[in-house]
Amino acid sequence: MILIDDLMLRAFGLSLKPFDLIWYMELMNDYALKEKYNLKKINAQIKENSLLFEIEEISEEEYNEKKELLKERLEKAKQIIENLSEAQIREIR
Amino acid sequence: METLKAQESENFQEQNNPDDTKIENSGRCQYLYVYGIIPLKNSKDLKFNFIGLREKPITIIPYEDIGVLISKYPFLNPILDEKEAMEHADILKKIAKKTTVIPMAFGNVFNDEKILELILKKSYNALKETLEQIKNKVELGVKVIKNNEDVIMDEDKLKTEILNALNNLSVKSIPGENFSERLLLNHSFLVEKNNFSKFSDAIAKSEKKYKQFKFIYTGPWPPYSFVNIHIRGQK
Repeated sequence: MILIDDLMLRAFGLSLKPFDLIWYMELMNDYALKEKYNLKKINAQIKENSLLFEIEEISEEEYNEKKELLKERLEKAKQIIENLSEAQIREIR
Repeated sequence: METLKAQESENFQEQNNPDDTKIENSGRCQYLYVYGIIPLKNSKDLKFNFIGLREKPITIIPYEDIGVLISKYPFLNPILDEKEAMEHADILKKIAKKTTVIPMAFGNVFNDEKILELILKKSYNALKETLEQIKNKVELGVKVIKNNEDVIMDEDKLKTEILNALNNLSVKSIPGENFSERLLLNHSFLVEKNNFSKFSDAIAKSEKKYKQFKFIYTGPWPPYSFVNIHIRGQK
């Protein structure tokens, strides 16, 4: 049985709107995941949050709120990365 | 600067001790927490009027004319704890006020004195060389931050101007992590102790001259960023 999927159609230079939409959604999802579970980026955001608090651009309340949020995201990202294959980890990084 | 990784042999390897909780609960501290390495010449009378982590006294394990500063600690693999990491930094700051020190990062814990003696013995030359390089010097940190809305023309030119003024008063400088788009500059400077005031004045001048930026100036610290020596146990 031949499965007609978006990649196959694309290989022949064909494009079907519904498949394209799915493809774009997958791309967006991949991008969002990479952004969400990028440890380096989350760590940078934690440092930036401290910096903004230090120069008094954000209040203590805002700082603590964001700090907790980022810490949670960092822990979650670590857990998710632990369950990924090496190839997937390389892709995220 | 020479990079050195002194690792003990596999014989000394130990993973997380399942009895760690028992040790903590019973108040026993059998492991050795390392703060840094100091020269022992002229340090015979070196006494610390402050205590180490977990309120344990700081002692010295000597080898020839250098020594490693330790205190007893209950865990071999400490969990990174913000409060304890701050305490570690504070203790090292106090040590640096008394003597030259090769500072260690938070969380270096060893099984016993023999391992540390072995590390000192194997790494003696590199440690001596590093101690000489950082003698009478401190680390100062400078961050220059752009305002949120401003579009900066000649950003690179301004960065170079600020850096040049500070580099002229330091022995060495290295860039830190560029963790935010708001950072124009994030550098650590190795400065002679007797140039500390001049360096601080230069920061004050820059703050006046470049009012469009915010400056964060920290230190003096032990020269963490300028020692490339890591001692650690095998995991």
